[in-house]
Amino acid sequence: MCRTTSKKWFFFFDGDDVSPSARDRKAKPERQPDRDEREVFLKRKSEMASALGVSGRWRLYMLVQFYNVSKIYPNGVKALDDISLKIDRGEFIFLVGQSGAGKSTITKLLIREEIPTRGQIFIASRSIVRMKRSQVPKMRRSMGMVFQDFKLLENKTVFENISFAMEVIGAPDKEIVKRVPEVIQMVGLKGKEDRFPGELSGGEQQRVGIARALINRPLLLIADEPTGNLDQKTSEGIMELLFDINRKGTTVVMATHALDLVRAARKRVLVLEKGRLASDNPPGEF
Amino acid sequence: MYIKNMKYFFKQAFRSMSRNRLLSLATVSTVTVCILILGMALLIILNTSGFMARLESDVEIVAYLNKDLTTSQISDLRYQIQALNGVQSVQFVSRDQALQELQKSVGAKDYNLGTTLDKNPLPNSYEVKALDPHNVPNLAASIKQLYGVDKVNYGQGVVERLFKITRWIRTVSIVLIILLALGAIFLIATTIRLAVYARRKEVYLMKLIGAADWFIRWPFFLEGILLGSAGGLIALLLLAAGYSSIIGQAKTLLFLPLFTGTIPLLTLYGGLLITGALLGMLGTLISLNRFLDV
Repeated sequence: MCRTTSKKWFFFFDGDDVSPSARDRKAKPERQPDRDEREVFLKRKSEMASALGVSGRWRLYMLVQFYNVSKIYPNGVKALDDISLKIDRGEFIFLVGQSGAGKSTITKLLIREEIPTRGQIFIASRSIVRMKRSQVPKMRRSMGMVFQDFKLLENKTVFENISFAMEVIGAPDKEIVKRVPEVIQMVGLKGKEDRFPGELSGGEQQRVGIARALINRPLLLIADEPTGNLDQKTSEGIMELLFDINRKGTTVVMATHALDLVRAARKRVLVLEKGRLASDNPPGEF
Repeated sequence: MYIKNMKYFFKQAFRSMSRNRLLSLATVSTVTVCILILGMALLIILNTSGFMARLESDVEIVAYLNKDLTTSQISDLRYQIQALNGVQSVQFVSRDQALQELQKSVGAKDYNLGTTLDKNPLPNSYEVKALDPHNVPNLAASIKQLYGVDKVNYGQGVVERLFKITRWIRTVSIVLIILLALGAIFLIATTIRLAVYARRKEVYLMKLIGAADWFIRWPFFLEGILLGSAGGLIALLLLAAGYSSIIGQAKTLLFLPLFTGTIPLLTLYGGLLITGALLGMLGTLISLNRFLDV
């Protein structure tokens, strides 16, 4: 399936712009996601397509496109300068660079917390720059966000923190009760449903954060320094979890400056320097 | 689905209120004080305007007629006056009635005007009431133009001054009410902004997860409405108790004609309650929009 989809994609876009992830897959075939997850993924994808108002499945393969994107904040800080990039579905991407290089700005642009000063951003072939304000919530439902400081609600239990993300988009109770334990199991927090965030370790808290991001089956998971507040060993555990999620079909964009984790991962790496894209390294070449 | 959402909204609203008890208390008391002041101002204004309306409606025009008019001319004049614009009623007062009135106002029973004066010196007259008391000076002028009218009297000078004063009082009271309402909205907006600020992380998360704006707004709205109407209710209970005791006192004192009657009072109290709820809602709306802009 992966091969045919890439071919279709080549047909519609320039052939020389070979997606690194496609190369990666050819060289080292990834484990096939199990049947169940895959069906769920396809269902989510068609839901997203209808939410975004696009027809035809092929449009969804190129998930993110940035064209000459610049961002200047109202206070005059130039955070991004003429960035163009494409992210294929199923990819795992690291955004690296020093503080202030523009990593966080890219994640904010992806979830449309900020709008670019110049340039265009397409998510699943739909411009999120021109998108109406009323369409934004729908778009965000196909994305999950993981934060450096976890952003858990202190007065809610683990279960409530995770189910919160389903409640606020109006999911039926029946689905919530069924889905939340699944995700808790997936991130390895079984038995800790009724704890409060204050009673958990940093790594466990981040797992709750990831579970919350995953609960609505996003196509794109955006993680802004997810290991920034964690020690080496805990970070590796979180990375394993993120790889696992990626293997099951979710595209992951992770901003970080933990370079040893990035080197060990052998994934595509985008290096940002002072708001410019300094290099785009295919997997294993960073 | 919708009912489930409503359940969720109410749950959230109550949870937030019980979690931020102090803030909720602050909001309720703010609304209470605002509505109480507003209600008192309204009652004072209603009473004074009722009093003023009575003063104004007492103003009437007395048109003295020429003594040598025939009966048919007199009745003719009546139709002419009635045909004028803005006339409410025309009352004929004969010379004899006028003398009797005079006798009455002089008061002394053992003193007979009729015997002192061998001839009745008073003329026949028409007492004319205007639909709009403010129209009295104009109306008087046009009555004076009519044939057979000798003299017109309506308290010239005094009436104009009375109207000036009442107009001024009305303007001042309307401005006062608007200022009070604005102050109340501002106070409530500030209090609710604190409540929203306490939950800004939650609001931010909801926005990023993809909750619709209305979904985020509703619990806060409910909270604002509930706190607002609670404040309004307390205020109007205090106001009703206070005012009814004042009415009781006034009845024994027979001092001023007070604004009473069950239905207008109930309307007033209901209006105040709704105002409380509206203030709560408006305050929420003002303070919430800033946080929703993510």
